[in-house]
Amino acid sequence: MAAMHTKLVLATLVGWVSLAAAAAADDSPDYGSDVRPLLRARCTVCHSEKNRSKVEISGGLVLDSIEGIRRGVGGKAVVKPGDPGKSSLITRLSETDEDLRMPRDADPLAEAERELLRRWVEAGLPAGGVGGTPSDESVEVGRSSRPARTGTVSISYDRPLEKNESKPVSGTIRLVAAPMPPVTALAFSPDGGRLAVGSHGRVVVWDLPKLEPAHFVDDFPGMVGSLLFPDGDRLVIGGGRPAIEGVVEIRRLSSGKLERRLTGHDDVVAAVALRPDGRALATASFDQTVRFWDLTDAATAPKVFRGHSDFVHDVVWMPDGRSVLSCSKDRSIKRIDVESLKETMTYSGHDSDVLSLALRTDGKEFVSGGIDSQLRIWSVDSEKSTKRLSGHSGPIHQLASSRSAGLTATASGDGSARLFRGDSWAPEATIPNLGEWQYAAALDADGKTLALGGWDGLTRVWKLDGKKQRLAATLVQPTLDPSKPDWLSVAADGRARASAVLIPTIRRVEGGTDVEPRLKGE
Amino acid sequence: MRESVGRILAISSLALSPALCSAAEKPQELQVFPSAVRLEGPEASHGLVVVSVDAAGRSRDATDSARIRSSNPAIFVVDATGRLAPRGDGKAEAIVSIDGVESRVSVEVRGASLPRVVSFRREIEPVLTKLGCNQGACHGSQHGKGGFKLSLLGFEPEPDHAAIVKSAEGRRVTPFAPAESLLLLKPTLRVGHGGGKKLEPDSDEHRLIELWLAQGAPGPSANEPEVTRLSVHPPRRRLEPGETQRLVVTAEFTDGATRDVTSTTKFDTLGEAVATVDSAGRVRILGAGETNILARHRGRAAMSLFTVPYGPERRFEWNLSNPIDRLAAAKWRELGLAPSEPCTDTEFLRRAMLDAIGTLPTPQEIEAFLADRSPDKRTKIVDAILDRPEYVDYWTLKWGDLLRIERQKLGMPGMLAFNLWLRESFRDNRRFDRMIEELVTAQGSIYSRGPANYFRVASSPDDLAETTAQVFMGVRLQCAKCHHHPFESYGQDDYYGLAAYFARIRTKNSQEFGLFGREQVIYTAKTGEVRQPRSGKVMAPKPLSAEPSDDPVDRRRALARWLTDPKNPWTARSVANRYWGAFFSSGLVNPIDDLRETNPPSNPALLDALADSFIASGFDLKALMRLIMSSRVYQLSSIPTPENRLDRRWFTHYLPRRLGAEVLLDAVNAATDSTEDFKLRPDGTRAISLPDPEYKSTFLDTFGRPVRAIACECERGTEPNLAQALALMNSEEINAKLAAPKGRVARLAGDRTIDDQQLIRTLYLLTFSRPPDPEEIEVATKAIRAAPDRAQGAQDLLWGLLNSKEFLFNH
Repeated sequence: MAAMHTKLVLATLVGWVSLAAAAAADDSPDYGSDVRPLLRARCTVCHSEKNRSKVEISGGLVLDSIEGIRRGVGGKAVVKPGDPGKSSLITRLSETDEDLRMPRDADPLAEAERELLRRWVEAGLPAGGVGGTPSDESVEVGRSSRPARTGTVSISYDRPLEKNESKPVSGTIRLVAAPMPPVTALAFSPDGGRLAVGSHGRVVVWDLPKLEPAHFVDDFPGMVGSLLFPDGDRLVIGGGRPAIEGVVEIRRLSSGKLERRLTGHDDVVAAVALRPDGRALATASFDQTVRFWDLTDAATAPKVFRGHSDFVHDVVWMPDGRSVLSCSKDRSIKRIDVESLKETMTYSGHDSDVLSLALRTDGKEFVSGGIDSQLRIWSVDSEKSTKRLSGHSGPIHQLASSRSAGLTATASGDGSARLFRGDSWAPEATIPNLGEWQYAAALDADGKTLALGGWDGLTRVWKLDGKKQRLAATLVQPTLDPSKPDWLSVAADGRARASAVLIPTIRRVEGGTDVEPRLKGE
Repeated sequence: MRESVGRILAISSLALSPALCSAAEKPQELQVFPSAVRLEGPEASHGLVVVSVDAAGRSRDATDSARIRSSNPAIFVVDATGRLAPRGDGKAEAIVSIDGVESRVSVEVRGASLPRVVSFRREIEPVLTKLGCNQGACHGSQHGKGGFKLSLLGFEPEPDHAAIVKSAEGRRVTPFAPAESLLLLKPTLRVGHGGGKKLEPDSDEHRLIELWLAQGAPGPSANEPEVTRLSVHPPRRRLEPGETQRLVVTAEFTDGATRDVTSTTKFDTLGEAVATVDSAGRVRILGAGETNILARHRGRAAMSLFTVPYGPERRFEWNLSNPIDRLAAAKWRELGLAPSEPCTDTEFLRRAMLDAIGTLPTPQEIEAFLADRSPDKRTKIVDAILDRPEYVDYWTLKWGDLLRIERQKLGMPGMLAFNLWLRESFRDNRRFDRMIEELVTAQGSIYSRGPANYFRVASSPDDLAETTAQVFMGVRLQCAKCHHHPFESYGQDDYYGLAAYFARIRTKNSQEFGLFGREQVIYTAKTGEVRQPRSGKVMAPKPLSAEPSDDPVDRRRALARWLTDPKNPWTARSVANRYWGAFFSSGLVNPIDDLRETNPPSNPALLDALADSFIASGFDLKALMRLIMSSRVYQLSSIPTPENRLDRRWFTHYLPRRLGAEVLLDAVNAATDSTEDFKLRPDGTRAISLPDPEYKSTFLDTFGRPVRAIACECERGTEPNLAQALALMNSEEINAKLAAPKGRVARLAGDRTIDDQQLIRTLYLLTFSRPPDPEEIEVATKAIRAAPDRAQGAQDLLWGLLNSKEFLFNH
């Protein structure tokens, strides 16, 4: 009797197995469309690349990429492709001992979910259409669902007197384009003649004398966190899609060619820094890492520093090119030896997020700024800051230096910007509140031009003359339709130029009434 | 005659009920909530709740089956879900009908053609709260979560807006491409989210956030209207288990507008055994009793009361001269409850003495009370009890707990001075408002001015504000120190406004020499302010929910005036509730010191009446106790009837509770005729008269004596544990008391003039405070005779009595 039962059970099992095999052949689950959503919902809050070093959370096991799943933990595999029964990834889901069963301290996976994972392992971990790295994200950064932008953008100017006029004339150029993507990164070309302006998905390289774009990059994935413009032709763009991927692109402007694409960061790249010899790149990311890339050797994987415990906001090279300074939301600034990836110094004193760094020309002192709205001056050899500079009433998002001119500029959430002498840190000048958070600042090499970019999507270019400064132009890149380059520039005297697609939508108002727009097209 | 009519009615209604049930389908009348609707702005829409009442008066929620039409679709229309949505300004009516029965609700529409602008403060924050984003365990925690911090429950729109829209380089939102915003990708789990899935992509909440982002994620403006009041419809219902009711919540704003905020309201039941409520506001009745459903939205709360009778109304005849009896009985009628029988004379005497003076009656007192044949003997004995010296001991002990009188913090002389002041107050039956005033305005040497120690027990303005609110008003203010109270209308401004009364309290050392010299002196400085830490503003002294008030000499005098003002909504109610709790084991509001709108009394009219009578008596504590003890409610048996046995909230029977540590020790000593040896205290000192807990006693600690570390009655342990059982059953301490050569048992057993029956009777009177019944006498007599000797038999009997619930409990 007992034997008969066994046979019956066996027959049923065989039946199931063959059914499952048939199902696998037809329609086996794949990583991208079936497995990853499940792991994301139930497993990767703990078992993520981000938490890999936090063994108390992840146990060192990473489940947010196929590589991580294959790698297992401590040299031990958690999957045996084709054999779910020998894969602890599967068996741990059905443990009767709650201390062993995953997910820990949560309801067990539903039967159908466990079956899905079992079949996936049985099928040999197929990646499916989207591949296996976090950068191949199924979330589509669709550009189709963009809503009409109905808010008005106004740019003011003071026009010089014309014939028959006795009073100075103030006016505004208006277009319906708000909300615009914030300007999050700025970089001058070495000769100061061009300015690269980064906003979500787009970088526009402006020809400053002409106040018109010279180049467009409009297919960058996600936000632009940082720009470098090292030799006037190569443009380095760091950024990415929040909580999805971090990307660095090196482009040749002359040829329009994408020279190199650096992937691997799991979150937006907030800062890129070129080693003084130009042969290596350091990147800081919201994924809590700092990575070092050898630009002369594309085959070598980057070195990864994981010593920060939160977003890394900025990174700068020391003049000798052997170490960098990095700062983080974890409130610390660290000096990292690139060769050993060892932390050789931790500078503590900020009591909230540290957002930006700038090194003094001689490399002996540096300045840091962050959420607490104070600038701190540090000697590179001392863990305690030597001086504080106050004045801002909002977070200091970026510090920009012109080393040759010995100037440092801030961009602050209080809407203003400040300039300091880069040797004595003496205040030089203040750009008063521009009405919106300023995220990005750049100084040209000779310290004569300052660019500021903010949450309102406007870039303002200032001419500096000692302690005096004057607004020279306002640059706008609305990206109303990402497939068509659109732009507008307004000089301080009211002269305006715009792309052909925008011209019909732009109004000029002087003395409260609409006047002839007087725009020059492309 | 009346009774027989009642019985006939009962029978006939029983017989009719099946017929009525089928007739319930046909409504007689429709009640529609709210009774008038105003739709303000293009986004406004409002739901209705329809209750149909049939011919038998039975009502049910008929919202789903009701047909709702608009009298003028140019003014408003009714959408597929039955909600009213504006189309044009003007007035019209919503016509609600079921089976030809109609009811109409007036609808006024304003601002229908204004541009639709999503308000961060009014629309987005409530969504974040409803989804749980800003709760304490998530982004609302002190340091946020995953680098994203929101204010707890969304009470600070400006920083929340910056955190969402602008911080971290604006990574969380892309207003120019709203659907790609991390703010939406994370909670829908399209990218990993530590908090799991919180938002459905195809939901109203998702669409609202997306619309807000598309509008450029506008921030809160300073002059935006705030919610001033919430109302829940229907406000009360009487239902039976299994029935359901839908709720609709309307918010009124500072600009006079009203809006349906049901979808962003958080619902909670206050009585899980009676009713549950889901996140959409559907109430399901589970069991008999009464509960409020709490609706919360933007720091405002409102409640809907659900009454579920235990059975049909029960008849009982009561002399209703005492307001307690009248109001308790009214509640019982609503709930279909009836009281237990009155307690016996011996039960009453034991109960009254334990509750009022923490002391067991002696056998002589019991015999005298039993012998008294006068009809008003219970009233007379109440007066006599309240005049006894133990009254001072017992209430000094209870208030000493709350005021945290103990030597560690105050030093021995300070502790004794504070204790002495309390003793004097109770000895003189000082008006309670006077006691409050003496405490909160006290100054001088803590060694010679007892109440000055109030400012040593708590010394910072924050501590003093919290203590004062909790002890005298039963208001727990602690959470408002760091954030807006999640349910109540007070926030940090109120907390620090109250603290400002104590901003100028200082201490210095006296210049005197000698034994009591160099002691601390409490005085009021000329300057000193309290700042609200978040805004940095200096706070003017301001009582809770009242206009600021100050005093040119001492701010605290203004506070004392407000605390003792008969119009103060808390003080008298708090005292009434504390004393009710002391006599009935459970307050009208529980926890006993947590009076808030969202924690209503089980019988609101009764608490109001007690408070009014306390005020009218001139804050006379003894008068309050007399009123309670002379009520028939207080004199009910602790034995429930089959019908009221489930009731633990409406006092249909007395709720037994274990004697407190000190009272129990005294009772054991009284029964065994022994005494405690407390250090530096005269022999025979009773535990209830100890001035502080620093007298070593394993017994007292085992039975939950508080160390007076917090200003809460909850510090006194009431949980049973094994150590207590062992202490009573076989501790050396108890055995020694039982077997003492000159103790109670030895004397009684050795006295040959006392026969076994008398011996047994005495032991019962000493412990159970009643004579034994014949069966008990028989069993006890047998046991004593079976013992090796009379003394040992008597010891065993007393041991058994001391270990009985009837001794250990006040019942």
